Amino acid sequence: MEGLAALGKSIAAFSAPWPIVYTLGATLVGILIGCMPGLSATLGIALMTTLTIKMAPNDAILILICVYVGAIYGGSRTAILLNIPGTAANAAACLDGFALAQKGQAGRAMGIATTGSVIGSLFGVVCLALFTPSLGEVALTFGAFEFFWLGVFGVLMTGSLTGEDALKGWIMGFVGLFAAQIGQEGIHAFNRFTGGWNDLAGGISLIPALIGAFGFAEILTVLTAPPAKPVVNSVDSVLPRIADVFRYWKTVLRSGVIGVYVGILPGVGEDMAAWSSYAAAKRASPEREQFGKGSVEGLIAAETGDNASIPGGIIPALALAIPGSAPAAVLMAAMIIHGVQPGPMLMVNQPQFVYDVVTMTLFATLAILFFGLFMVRPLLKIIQVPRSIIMPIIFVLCTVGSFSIASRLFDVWIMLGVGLAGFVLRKLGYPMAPFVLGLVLGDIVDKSLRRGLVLSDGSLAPFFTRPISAVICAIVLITVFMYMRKAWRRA
Amino acid sequence: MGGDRAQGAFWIAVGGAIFYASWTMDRLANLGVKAFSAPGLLPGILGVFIIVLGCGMVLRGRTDLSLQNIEWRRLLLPIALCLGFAGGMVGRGVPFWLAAWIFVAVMIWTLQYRERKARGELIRLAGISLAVGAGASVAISLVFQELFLIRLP
Repeated sequence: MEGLAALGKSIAAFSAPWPIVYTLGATLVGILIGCMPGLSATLGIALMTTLTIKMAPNDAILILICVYVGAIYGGSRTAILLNIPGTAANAAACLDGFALAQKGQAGRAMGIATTGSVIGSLFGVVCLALFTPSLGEVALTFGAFEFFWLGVFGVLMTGSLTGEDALKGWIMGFVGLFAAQIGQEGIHAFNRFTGGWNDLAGGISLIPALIGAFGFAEILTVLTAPPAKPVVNSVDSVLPRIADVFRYWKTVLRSGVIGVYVGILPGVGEDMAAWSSYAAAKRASPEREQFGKGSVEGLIAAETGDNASIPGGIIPALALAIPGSAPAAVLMAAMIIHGVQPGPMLMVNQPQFVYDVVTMTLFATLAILFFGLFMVRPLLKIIQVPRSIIMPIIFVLCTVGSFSIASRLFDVWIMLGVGLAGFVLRKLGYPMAPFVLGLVLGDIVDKSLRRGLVLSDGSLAPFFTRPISAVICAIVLITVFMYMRKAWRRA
Repeated sequence: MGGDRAQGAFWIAVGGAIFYASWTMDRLANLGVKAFSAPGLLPGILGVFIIVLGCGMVLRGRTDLSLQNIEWRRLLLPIALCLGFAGGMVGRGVPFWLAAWIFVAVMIWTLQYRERKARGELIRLAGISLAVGAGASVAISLVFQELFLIRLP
């Protein structure tokens, strides 16, 4: 009952005119970001973090969540119309969405994508409201040992699941963890790897690094790709068909559960949620031969899965301070900038905030429903703007965004350096998500390891013998073992 | 960086450098800090893991031609322009709106030059580049500085 009262209070507070204006404006910005191939949800949130830095915390975080939800949804437009996913999360939607568009059913495909996204998000919102407080309560029993393993688990899971090569993913995760060690450490205030350079004492700032990895690197990637033109210039009715939802209710429910579950896994993200939901739907479907040829069920599964994973990814970010995806990592960083401290103590110190986030996600979901129904044709025009015009403007935004976090030119150099390195590494098949998660979790892993060792007077035993610690450690070891077995078999 | 062997060797070198720097880092023993709480502990462990993973890549030995497939010549000018704008113009006395205008206009010109030249539309391209550059620089300056009160470089 307490939770319901807190939720009611949040809904009442956000039902004022300005929050509604922010919701609509930010969701539209998010959809536009998602629509443009090359601009990711992570970059959108990072850029908007810099823009909203002087706003009231609740308004700023509302805007960021709306951009997040909008971007993941918006990416389905280009997946359907161009066969290019607007964000990585929409890659699975290309398979059936584009096939439907080629059959002259682009409007129907977009209606299905809207329905799937809205239902997925709503399912995720319910899970966010139910599970965050419970997980927060469980996390209160966690100590340094458990947090150490959770951090390691997050980096290894991201490394294993994002990208095609776990070895490269793990390397990026460890490089990210190392990058987080640069600068003044949090226990003895000792400057590490700074070479006497004062600018580095503050460490590698997360937002400029993310803007480099997902902005500058992406701009260069887009400029090397051949331009794509929409094959569909007109659409049929975009009104969602309720019959589609009822017909595939089992798929919708399954995809929602998979989306939230994958979202909760540290660092795994929306793209994996979409692919897992799609694969599960294909396995269970009596019409599996239609998948990839314009299957409504396939499209609804992918879109429900990726949007359900958004609230799923926010759950561990709020309750454990371990984000479920790269965009959730930026969102968490933005919360910290605005004075909110995610983690087990959040439910103790700021319990209302959790319900505020639930309300924000709910409002963003309603906004994508609104725009999904009324903004289809203008969006068709927007995705036709050439990349050669969009990308220079985005680069200017990347530069301003990197600078504005701390008004330091050094951060612009961080953005450029990470961007160039990120571009080359991506071309070599190194995924960026593990690097981001490593950068976010580096501090927690370092402090937890050393605090744990201080508590145990140098003994490693509690890392392996405390029950929760032992379980997470076993999962980490199994992950590594499974990869090694796979690699051995391939060889 | 042709394949696993070269990349693995690179990561072994990176991991080795990290491990060496961590090993030789001040352990703060003079402050009574115990070895297991020394600042170089985790970075050193990470260095070792990166070396191990690098060795894994060397042993795997797959070939990779991804970098050779990039049209570097096409990319060099945009990269130079981006570095020139963010590293050379911004924050070095040039007003931001002017720097952004010049950058956006030159970048659009560069990216569309070949295509527009073939169609005999260079004057039109110049007009579009200047107009989009002006619009973008004014809009970005106004939104950041006036609407959201954020200092520009």
